[in-house]
Amino acid sequence: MNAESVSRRSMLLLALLLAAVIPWIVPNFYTFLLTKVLFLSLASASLILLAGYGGMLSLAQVAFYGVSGYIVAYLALRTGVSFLPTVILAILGATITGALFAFIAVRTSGLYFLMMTLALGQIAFFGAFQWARITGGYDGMVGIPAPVVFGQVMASGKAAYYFTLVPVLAGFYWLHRMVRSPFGVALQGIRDGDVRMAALGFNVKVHRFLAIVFSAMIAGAAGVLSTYFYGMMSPQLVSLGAAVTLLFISLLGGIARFEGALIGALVFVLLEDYASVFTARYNTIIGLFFILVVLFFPKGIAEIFRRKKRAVL
Amino acid sequence: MKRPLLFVVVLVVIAGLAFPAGGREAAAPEGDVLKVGVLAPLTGVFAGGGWLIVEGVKLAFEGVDYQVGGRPVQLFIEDTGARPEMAIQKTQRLVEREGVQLIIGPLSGGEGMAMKEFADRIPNVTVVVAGAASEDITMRGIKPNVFRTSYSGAQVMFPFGEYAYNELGMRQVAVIASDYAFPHSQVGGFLSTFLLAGGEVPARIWVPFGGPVDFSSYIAQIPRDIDGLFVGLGGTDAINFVQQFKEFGLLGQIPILGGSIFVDPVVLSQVGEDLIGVKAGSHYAQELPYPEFRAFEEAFFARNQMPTSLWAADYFVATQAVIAALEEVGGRIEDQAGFREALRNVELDTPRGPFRFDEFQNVVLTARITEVRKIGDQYRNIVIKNVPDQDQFGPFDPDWYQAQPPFGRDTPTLPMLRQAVFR
Repeated sequence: MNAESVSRRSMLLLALLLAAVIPWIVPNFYTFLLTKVLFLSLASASLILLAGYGGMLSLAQVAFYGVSGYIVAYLALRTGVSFLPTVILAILGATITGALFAFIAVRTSGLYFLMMTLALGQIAFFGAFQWARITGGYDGMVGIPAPVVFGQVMASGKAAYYFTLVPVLAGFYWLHRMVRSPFGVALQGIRDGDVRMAALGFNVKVHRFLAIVFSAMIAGAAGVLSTYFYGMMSPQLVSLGAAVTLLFISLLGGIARFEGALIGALVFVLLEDYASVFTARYNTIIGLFFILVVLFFPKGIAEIFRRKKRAVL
Repeated sequence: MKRPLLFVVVLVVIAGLAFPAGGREAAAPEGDVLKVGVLAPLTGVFAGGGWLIVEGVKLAFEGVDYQVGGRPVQLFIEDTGARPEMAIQKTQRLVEREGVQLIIGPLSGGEGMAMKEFADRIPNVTVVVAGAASEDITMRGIKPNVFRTSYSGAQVMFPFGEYAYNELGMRQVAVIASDYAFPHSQVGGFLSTFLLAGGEVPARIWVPFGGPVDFSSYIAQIPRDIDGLFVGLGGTDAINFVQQFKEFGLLGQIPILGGSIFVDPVVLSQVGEDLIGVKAGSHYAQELPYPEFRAFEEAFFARNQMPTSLWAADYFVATQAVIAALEEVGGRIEDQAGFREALRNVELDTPRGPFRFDEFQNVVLTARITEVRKIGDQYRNIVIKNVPDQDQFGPFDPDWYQAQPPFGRDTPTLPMLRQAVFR
């Protein structure tokens, strides 16, 4: 174990410790915002798996997010299905949606793939909007009861934070392991040269298929967390605007690695909240900020930390 | 290492340009400040009218010089973009960070319903819903800390159904409306009294909200042998519909009855000529017979160089009610029980006429039937009938009404209404 990995490990431990105690340090409202950061970063990580490691830029993450979100909303409000089966069915729903989509979409790549994901995202949006008998249409579904875990109601504040933190950490850990596994390395190989990888005997389509399915699963988990967090689901959460926001978060943080998801979500949520206090034109400020980031750090904000590290070592 | 530094410098400069000194409502006033949160859609689909409702709130507080019960008032205006999840986030910010115990808003029905559910988590805060018209905000289980000063969709429509049958002599009326809770409720209110009077509804056509630009397939579904068509559309939907209805040659052939947002000033400015004579149900119009209305209209015009809108009036009235209750308790918003009691008992003369709450903490108001006329070179919505003391249950018994499901695409039906219990 060399010095670099030791320092990296201690950094990671420090970050985990901070994540565990931060609700006890910051005011309640920031705990609320940080919870939002957590599930947004998980959704963004699902995009980074596809785009950063798989070379497949996607606007369909909101569709997976929405499918699981609406399944949670429907089961919690209209049926007596309990918490755990609800979550499993919701993530299963997102995964199946991902598999069906991947079955068709692996035939394409690049811009054509992006267009396919745009189509799926829009199908999800208009489905949510117009299939009102199931989704509540424009009104959405409200009043989803907070989940009860080990007899504790995960309603708001710290409880909601930890309820979100644990699965998000698990998700990030899984992703971290995945991209270092033979599958993950092959996926990155395919990103850099699919023809070569195919020539080496890798099944490019199967790798892409699995990447999309895993990504859908992660996005679905984020959708579950979001739905419980807000206690509601509405078509706005699966709109094109939401898809672009997710892409924006990923690019802001850095789409090449998973740290980018966390940093992007953190910066976006804080910036949106802070700027909106001062002016109704806060979207302009967020846009300007994004242009600056692209000008100075084309690989996202995460790049700042990587540079520093290189300078130290 | 130069680039990060340069980055920070540019960032600071931009921040300096973007946030001129005291971007918020001036600096915090001195003394024992009373903090009031306002939720308004300053971005998104309702942004066009959103800033006007903030003007309504400011105008009301200016009327008392931002002093209530001896305490200076500080406004915290938050943008929700008319997104329910954003309404919750901004409520969190107002409550947790700014320490607000009184919130005026939100505007849209989806936000209103989300706030109702969220109200349990903020028991020490009173929410005065100033715009949202989703019926369930103040029925089928009410929250002690949620009041509504605006209206429910059906509330202003009950008299209109009867009017269409009795005074306009209509027997067959078809419906075309947006497919979400507010128009469901408006159509429900209209049809309740219309069907009970003996009328029939040969078709109910639901259109996705903000959806089609091309209405032809929907217009094709409208039966031709009807006495009237109830149109529950608003904004650009309404304008598109009227233009295409005219192209089909149906304008003038089939009389139009309007929902509350069908004949608003924006729609009239575009297609006013085509809508002359159209009657609608509402609680506001561009001419009301009260001195308070005149004063409001003039003050609003002096500030914004434009006439008042239903939204601006609704937020103005909400703020007036809040001010009255706060005066009653000497500005002590911290005493939430006392404040809510005072708010429940508020009785006011407002630009919308006499104002009070029912026992469900929903407003009792004067419903109106209006007609579009051309006055000078402007198309205006004029009151032709006032129906005072309307609450959210119309002619029905509150218990029976709440035992029914909320109005949807296929309700109410005549068999259901025949079982109705009246008061």
